[in-house]
Amino acid sequence: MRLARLSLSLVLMLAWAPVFAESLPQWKDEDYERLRRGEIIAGIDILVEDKEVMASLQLSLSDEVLPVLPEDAIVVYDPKIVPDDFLERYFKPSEDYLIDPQKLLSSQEYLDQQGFLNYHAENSSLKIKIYLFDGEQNLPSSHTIDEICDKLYADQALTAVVFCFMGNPDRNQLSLTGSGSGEITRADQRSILEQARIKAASKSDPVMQLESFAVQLSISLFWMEEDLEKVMASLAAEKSRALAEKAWQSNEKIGQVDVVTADDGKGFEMIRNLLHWFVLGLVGLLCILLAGMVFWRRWRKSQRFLFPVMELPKRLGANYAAGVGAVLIFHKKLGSPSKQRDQIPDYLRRM
Amino acid sequence: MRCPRCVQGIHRSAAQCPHCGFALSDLNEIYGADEVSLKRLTDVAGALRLRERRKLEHELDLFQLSFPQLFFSIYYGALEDRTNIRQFGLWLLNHAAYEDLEISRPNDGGVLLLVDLNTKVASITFGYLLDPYLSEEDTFNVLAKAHPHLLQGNYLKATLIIIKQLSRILRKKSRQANRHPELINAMTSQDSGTSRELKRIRPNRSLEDGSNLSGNKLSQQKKGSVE
Repeated sequence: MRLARLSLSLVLMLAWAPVFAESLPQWKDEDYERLRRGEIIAGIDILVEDKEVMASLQLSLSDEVLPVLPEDAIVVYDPKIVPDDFLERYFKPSEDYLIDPQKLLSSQEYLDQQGFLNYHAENSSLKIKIYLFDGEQNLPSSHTIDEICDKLYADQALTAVVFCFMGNPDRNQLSLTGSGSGEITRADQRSILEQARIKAASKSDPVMQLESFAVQLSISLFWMEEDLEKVMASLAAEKSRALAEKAWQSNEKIGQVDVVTADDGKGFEMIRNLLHWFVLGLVGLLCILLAGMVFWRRWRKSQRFLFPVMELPKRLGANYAAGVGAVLIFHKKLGSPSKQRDQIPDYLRRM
Repeated sequence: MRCPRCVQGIHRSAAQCPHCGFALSDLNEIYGADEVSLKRLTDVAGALRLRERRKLEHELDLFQLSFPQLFFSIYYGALEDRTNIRQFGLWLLNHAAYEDLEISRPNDGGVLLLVDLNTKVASITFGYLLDPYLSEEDTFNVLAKAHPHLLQGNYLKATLIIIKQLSRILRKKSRQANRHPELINAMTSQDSGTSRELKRIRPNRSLEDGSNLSGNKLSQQKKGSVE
């Protein structure tokens, strides 16, 4: 059976063989030689452009209009230049303490830094304004820190204006402007800036650098503010002395001297106003206490204590006294008095 | 009340101790029956300096001002080893004639603080006037307060504390006595030596019950012995 099947299939193959031989190309020996020499490339007939297809494609492309960009509209980003439209937005008067129009910080980072600067502003009369720039950016000469201070903050309260270059704290700049800034020397400002720079340089991340810089700046400004208050107070005292001297010489009434400290000195002024009342009250209270004590002692001394006299029978043949009270031995060997509470005769103790 | 010799409880009007037969006449044989001239502050042992003595005398004056019927006297002595301080205190307060004291203040109202520096013992003895008001416990508490200073040999401080504490107790007792004199009367009439002892033995029974009980017991014992 199997043999019959095999012979049948062999017969069929031999019958169809001439049909396959006619439809497929046949390799010849000379073709093989030409292929080896590189004269023909296998499949080149398939890669050759069809003239009809190419003709239809060119027709469809010619219908579309491709946009042509003008040469001046191509923006070339330069990391060293702050774009003009940003410059305008930087130097407009703003209520924010952190100015970042280029969005160098993420929104969360911006909120964090802004929160810290708000906190500083709540606790200090000396505000901090931080302008953020990229590390390599340069500002045009019309927008230097001094120009900005004169333009925006000269007639305001004492303000610390800071240009912060992200990732490059050594380039950070500080300028103190506003009322009272004349009392702060450039050396002091440099010292504050240097301390903040050193603190920022200890961090590697640009945002952390900014945070460290701001924190250190806030601390330094707090101490500077304390010193400034003392300076202002001494200046006011000097002014009042001069005014008094002038009034003495001119024999006129002495005018009121405005004593203005860095934080207006409201708290201290209030305490000073109430201090004498407090001292007066304390002295009064002490006097009352003292008088009370004296009175109480005198009353106590003047008190007389009498006992009702009773006729008592004589005891043990004693005319005046038979009240035998307690006996206490104060020898160290016997310890505390509690051990002697039960009174015992001497002969028992001796035993 | 206690006997100064055997320290047993005795009746308030006992002529002599029912336990040991003690009476003041026994002490007269030892120390003498005559009066002894003393000052309120007698420092035979030399325990105090002059300034301290003056300060103490001032305090004694103040005590007398507060308590017009009473006086406080102090005796610092170095007694012989065999001297019984209770007995000596009792004898002294009964035979002392105080030079610096007006006659209007008899020894009945006296309080004697006796400190023996030889045997390191302190005691308090008081007159009949204070009998209903001062107890042995009161005097013990007063002495106990001064114990640390006595141990350190600071006799001035110790004496000042004793006077202060005793004054505090006496003030309180005086107020009580004047507010409720009936209580003091009742106490003096009932709180005799034997009845108090019985109270102590049978605290839940009244005095009458107690006396009846003891009477019954005695009669039963007698009956038993007869049988």
